[in-house]
Amino acid sequence: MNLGQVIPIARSVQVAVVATALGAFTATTAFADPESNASRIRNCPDSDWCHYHRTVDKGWRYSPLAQINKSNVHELRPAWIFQPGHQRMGNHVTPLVIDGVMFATSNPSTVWAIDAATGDRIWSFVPEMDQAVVSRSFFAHTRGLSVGDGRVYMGTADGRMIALDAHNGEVLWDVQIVDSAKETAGFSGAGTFVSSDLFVIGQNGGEYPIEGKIFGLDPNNGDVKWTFYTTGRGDDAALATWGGDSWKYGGGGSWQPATIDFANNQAIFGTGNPNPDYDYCGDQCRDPNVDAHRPGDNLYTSSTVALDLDTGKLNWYFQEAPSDPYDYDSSPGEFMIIDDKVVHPGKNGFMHVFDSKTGQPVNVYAAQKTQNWTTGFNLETGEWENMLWPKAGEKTLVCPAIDGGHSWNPGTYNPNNGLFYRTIQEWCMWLTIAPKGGADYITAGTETRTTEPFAQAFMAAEWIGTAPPGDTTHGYITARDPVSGEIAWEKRYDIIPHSTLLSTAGGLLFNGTTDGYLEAMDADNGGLLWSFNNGSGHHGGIISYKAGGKQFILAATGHGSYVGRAVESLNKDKMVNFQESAAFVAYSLD
Amino acid sequence: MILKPFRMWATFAALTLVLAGPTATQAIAEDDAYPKKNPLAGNEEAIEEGARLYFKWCVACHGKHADGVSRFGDYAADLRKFWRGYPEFVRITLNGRTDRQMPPWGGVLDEDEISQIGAYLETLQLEGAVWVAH
Repeated sequence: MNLGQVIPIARSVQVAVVATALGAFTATTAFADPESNASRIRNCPDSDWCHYHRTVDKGWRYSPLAQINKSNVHELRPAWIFQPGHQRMGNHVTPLVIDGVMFATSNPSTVWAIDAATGDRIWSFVPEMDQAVVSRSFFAHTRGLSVGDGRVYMGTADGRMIALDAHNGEVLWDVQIVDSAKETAGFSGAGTFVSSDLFVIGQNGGEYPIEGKIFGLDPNNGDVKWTFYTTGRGDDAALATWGGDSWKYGGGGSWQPATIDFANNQAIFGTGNPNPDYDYCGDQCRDPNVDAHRPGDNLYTSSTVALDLDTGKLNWYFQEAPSDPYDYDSSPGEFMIIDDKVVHPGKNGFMHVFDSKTGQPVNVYAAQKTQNWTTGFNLETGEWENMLWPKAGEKTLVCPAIDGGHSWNPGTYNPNNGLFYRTIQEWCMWLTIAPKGGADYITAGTETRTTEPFAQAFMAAEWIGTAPPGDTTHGYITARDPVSGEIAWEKRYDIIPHSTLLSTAGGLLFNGTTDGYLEAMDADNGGLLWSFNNGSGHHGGIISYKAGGKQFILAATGHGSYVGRAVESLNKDKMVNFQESAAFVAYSLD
Repeated sequence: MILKPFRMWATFAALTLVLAGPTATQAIAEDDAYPKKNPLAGNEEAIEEGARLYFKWCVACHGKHADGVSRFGDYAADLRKFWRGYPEFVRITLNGRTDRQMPPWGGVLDEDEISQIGAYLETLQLEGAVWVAH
């Protein structure tokens, strides 16, 4: 990595003028020259964090670095702090580090290049946003970004993909991919750089009456190469699972980055829930011919989908909640590739293990202890058994709650000991689905489908978070064999944690707690080896990288996010001083 | 039939502008663009329509009780305690406060509809609410 000289003022002004003319503001104090060709991104060096999950092809969030290990982690100290400023909705971001340069984002869609050794800002890019869209969107936040072939790729909350020059932050191309002025939903930021010819990303969507989409783009210019419609457009088998034209407003989308299964030439995505979030058809909902907003199974919403990299065509799918009556969309949760299997922790509280080539489920087991929506998945019949179908207008206890048994904060797999570490959320909700025609006393979104002049959130139900029967709301970190589900150890948290997890070759597991602590555990038994109070919650990424010959641990800190707010609402006495905030805090041994 | 107070008010305001000098005209336009109190306050028909509109456009953020608690969290304004007076209610609704994630509703809701929503919200007001501007 090479940091160039400080840019002359006159040139800096020129850059700013050009960028402003393009509808953005770029501030540059120095140049960055990280090597980010397609080969480096695909074969991520041990020193780097090349993708949202570190590597594009595994989804493990495992760092092969071991300078920081069990014997010295007690000496870990803060090295630098970078505050990106925008606080609303907290900090969900997983930054990337390529060749000594950190690339990070902040809400709604600002991009930062930072010297990963010192925390000094190299350049920043503040896109001029459609504030009307951003201010009314459920998704006015970012989870990260992507890098490849010298470009930084940012999906914006108002539906654009923007490619920046990794060197100086200048705009290389800026393409409106989703008509967010109409659809409201845009992008959460991070996609997946597959190769010099392909970049894949899904749009947000489940809360809105739209057609959800996943895109294959040309990373050279933003041209759309293919589109996969998550509610079935062009697929007769899928359309048969929707009553009438409800698929046109069926939501879905896909709001977390894919993992790439190069062996089978496919991208593994999760799709969002169908829209509206809840329907009044009760135990008749799977019949596409009954009277309802969206009768039928609603393929391919709330599903894992494997898409051919060349065409975007569906190779296989698995639906994690047919006719989803709970908002258990499948976008949350990493898609890990372990040997010839895809492993996915679902919002539905289950772990799903698939044959990566065929999609055949080989094991589906409950990870959440208190779920009550099904008695389980039958591998022989291919059906979820004894599903709970809440009746419209009747208050029903549903576990897990809307925010899931697993949330979108990914876990980590350590190939050295074969253990998968994951945060599990033990909570329920009192759900009351709106009857036909709506009812103002239970409305959480609009009463009816609203698509003009733009889509309104359509979530016709009331849900109140509550504790599992006989217990309080709580969380676990579990360490287990991801395929068999056998537990090695587990650790209970009275306040549900919501950071990502990180495992390292140093035998460590890192977690960020909701009440402020970054902690390092012994990966073999969960024993606490070190902790530091960051003074705010953790709802984003924890990563490790090497810069200047030194290993760093970095945590995105900042109270916020919808899940964070839900946790706070159940623990107000313990989080009374927490306000929404954002920072990146780096740690090293000296 | 729903009253159309803004057309009446516009006529009055225009007449006022004609009678005033140029400097005063600007001041009047700034200060008196909207009436100090909601002309539809207490109008049953307007309240009913305002409730319908509220549950279509506002409920997602401000919640079913208008207390600012919704699926989006509990950060939106508690409209039961709206204290800025009716003219500011109209201005904020039309122009938004995008730095606080309040969208602009101009072009979606007309001033009559905003007045109807205001009439509904006035029926929910708690102690401390101020709907009549001074």
